[in-house]
Amino acid sequence: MNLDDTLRDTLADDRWALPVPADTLSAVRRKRARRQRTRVGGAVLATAGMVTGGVLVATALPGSGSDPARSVIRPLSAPEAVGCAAPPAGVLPGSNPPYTVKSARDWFMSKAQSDAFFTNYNQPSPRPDARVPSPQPSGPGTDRLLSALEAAGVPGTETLDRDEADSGDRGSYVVKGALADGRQLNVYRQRLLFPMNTDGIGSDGSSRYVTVEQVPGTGCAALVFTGTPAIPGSTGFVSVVTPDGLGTAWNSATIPMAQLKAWAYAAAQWETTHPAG
Amino acid sequence: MTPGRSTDQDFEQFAASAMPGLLRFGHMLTGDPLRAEELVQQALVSTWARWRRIEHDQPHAYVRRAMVHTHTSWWRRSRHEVPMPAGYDRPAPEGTDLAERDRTVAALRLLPPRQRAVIVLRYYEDLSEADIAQVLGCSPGTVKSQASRALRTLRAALTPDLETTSP
Repeated sequence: MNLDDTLRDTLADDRWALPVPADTLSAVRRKRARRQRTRVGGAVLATAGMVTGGVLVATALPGSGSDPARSVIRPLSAPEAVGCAAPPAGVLPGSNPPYTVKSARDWFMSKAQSDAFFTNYNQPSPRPDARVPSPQPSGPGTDRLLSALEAAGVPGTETLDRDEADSGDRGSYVVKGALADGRQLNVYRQRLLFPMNTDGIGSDGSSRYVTVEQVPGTGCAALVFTGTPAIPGSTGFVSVVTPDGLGTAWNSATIPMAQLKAWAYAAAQWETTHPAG
Repeated sequence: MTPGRSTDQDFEQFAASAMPGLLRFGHMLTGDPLRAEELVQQALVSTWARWRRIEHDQPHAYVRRAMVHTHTSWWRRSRHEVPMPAGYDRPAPEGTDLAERDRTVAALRLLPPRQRAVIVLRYYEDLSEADIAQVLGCSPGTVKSQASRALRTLRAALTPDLETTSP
């Protein structure tokens, strides 16, 4: 028997067949529900103005109501502004009058500041090739993120899943899933293309669920959102932003906020002292 | 979407009908029934999240691709260990067809996940290079090179047991 026949014969063996466990679909439903709950934090971030691959969530715009549809406003002349090569600290592309980011805290705005900013802001469109199939195999983006998690002391990270293009957005990374102890952790990393409206995160126009603080020992600022009763099932998150606008959001339904924050800050401190090559 | 049915119902119908094939595919990739089940569950969760976008466009290919990517990710973290599949852990009597299959299964364990996926899709699912490329999200040329490497490894592992008539 030649190799082709041997392989066909071997792979046709009935021993490969597995009985379908009765509760598999239920397990899928449970996992999906858990994922939806834990992603609320990320969704809130997006609503507050975080950009995915250059696509603006319409709810971040003044007067756009609650329509969740995404809107692309106009192409950006500098296509490299999408993804890993997104705008560095300095004048934000599309801002008029020019909005200059001088420190990490400048990536956070009050509602009044945000309204003024968006009055004359032209949102860059994504590059035509910014959308890719997801999940994408591990790569430098998620390697770096995972190293930061490990350096921060997050235990059992080897069980987490990685996606080099979260939701199909190139330059958007995620490390997520159950840690070895079963607790769920999601860490998303994206470039910000414009500042977040921190007052919009609580869904009631106030900033009472949000604090912005400096991450000690780094040039980073952090937004800490404790969750809000206005969004059923919402979970808190910590979003650390570098001066050049790299946002890393930590979210979990089961890990206490104090722990989440400690890991997020430790990871930022490690990345500050271990710059990417 | 089927008229009168919800998106979720359509997805669950797809998942239920595809489950036996997905579990078998997962078993061939991972070599372990429990990991196969976990792999299928994770891939289905991911597929469900994108169901509206993919339900009319090869959902079978999408879920298999998610399985291969996830398994590759696991494999990188598990120090490349691949367990012996269920039912293959006791050696079959020498000189029987079962013994030859067992040796082939042992050789398959030597392959990295994407090469193993290419072999399974080609020799079990009978997919063309173009279809395998669609499932794996790569070019047909990559499929060809992965298959070539995989067959070279398998041939080297099985040569004493085979009449080497294949290319």
